[in-house]
Amino acid sequence: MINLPVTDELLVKKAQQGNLVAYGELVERYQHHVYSLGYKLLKSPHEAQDAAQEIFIRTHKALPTFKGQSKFSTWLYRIATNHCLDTLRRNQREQNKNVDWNNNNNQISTSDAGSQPEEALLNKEKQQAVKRSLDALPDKYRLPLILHHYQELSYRQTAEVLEIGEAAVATRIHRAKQMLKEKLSGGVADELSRNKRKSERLFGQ
Amino acid sequence: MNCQETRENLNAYLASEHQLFDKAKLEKHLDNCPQCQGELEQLQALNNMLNSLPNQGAPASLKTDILATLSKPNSKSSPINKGKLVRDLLAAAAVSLAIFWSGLPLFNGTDVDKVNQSFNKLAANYTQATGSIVNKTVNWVDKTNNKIHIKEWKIK
Ligand SMILES: [Zn+2]
Repeated sequence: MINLPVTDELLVKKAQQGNLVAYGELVERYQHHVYSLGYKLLKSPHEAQDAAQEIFIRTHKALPTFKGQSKFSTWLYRIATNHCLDTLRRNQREQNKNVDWNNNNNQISTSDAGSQPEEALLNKEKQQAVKRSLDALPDKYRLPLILHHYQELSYRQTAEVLEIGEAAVATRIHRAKQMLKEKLSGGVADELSRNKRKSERLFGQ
Repeated sequence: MNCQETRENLNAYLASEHQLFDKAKLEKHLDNCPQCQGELEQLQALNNMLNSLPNQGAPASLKTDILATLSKPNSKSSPINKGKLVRDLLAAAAVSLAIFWSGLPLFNGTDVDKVNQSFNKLAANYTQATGSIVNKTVNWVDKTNNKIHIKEWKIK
């Protein structure tokens, strides 16, 4: 028996016919992408979880309107991005009592395990600086950067999700990086000198 | 290719998005321009910094919660989300917030999972203290929406 990989298109077709197991498989495939997008765009892990749940339910409701003009993943990303933007705007209006991301996100990445506590603390500070700088970018630049850098979409895919041209994606990512480089200049300098030390060790200089 | 054009394309170059510029010309410029090489190194360092943010996977309950909501026959367009409802309820029932907050040191947990666990414990403590209020509210929500069951998180 040949086991052909089940494509998204096939699952979408089944889901459109009311097959919830097929939709569950699509959720399985994309839940981490959608959640981590919310995690980067929104202010707290709680918001990211709420958003991911609402996005998949919205998407399910909208399935009858999906005619396959784009890939399912592109369409899903578009819904997800718009939903996160809506959430951000709503929250901005409420000027909320939400728990701040930084208080709530003290986890240290796994690469820190076993390293010195000071270094772990330094890394945590670095992470928070990065997150703050990303949050401070205007959405116009933040979205393409996050879709490309963190969601690992190509320029082409990012362009499709945001419904702009590929050259515009390139320009916006360039601008976003320039802004980040300015905000994080200290960190960039540290990173550079660390890389230099590393390569000096490697080449025995 | 001049410096300006080179720099505008360095991110695309690092991302191997070569379709938007002339790669050979860019590399030729880089070979002869230490300033642009320096800029390239800075952008690589920036990318390393961006990569330091942890990549967070979806919580294990996400898929189950979604499918549970979708499998209810007459699910309304805006589903009630368990976590969100509990948070909203707790915020609304400001009755004994003192008990609530003294229950556990909540938001200094070391990771999201722990925060979630603490939250569940906290919710349980809170329910014992003000259970009837919450239960009443949840029953009301149950009647109107038939989606939330307090016992799901009360026992945890
Ligand atoms: Zn140059």
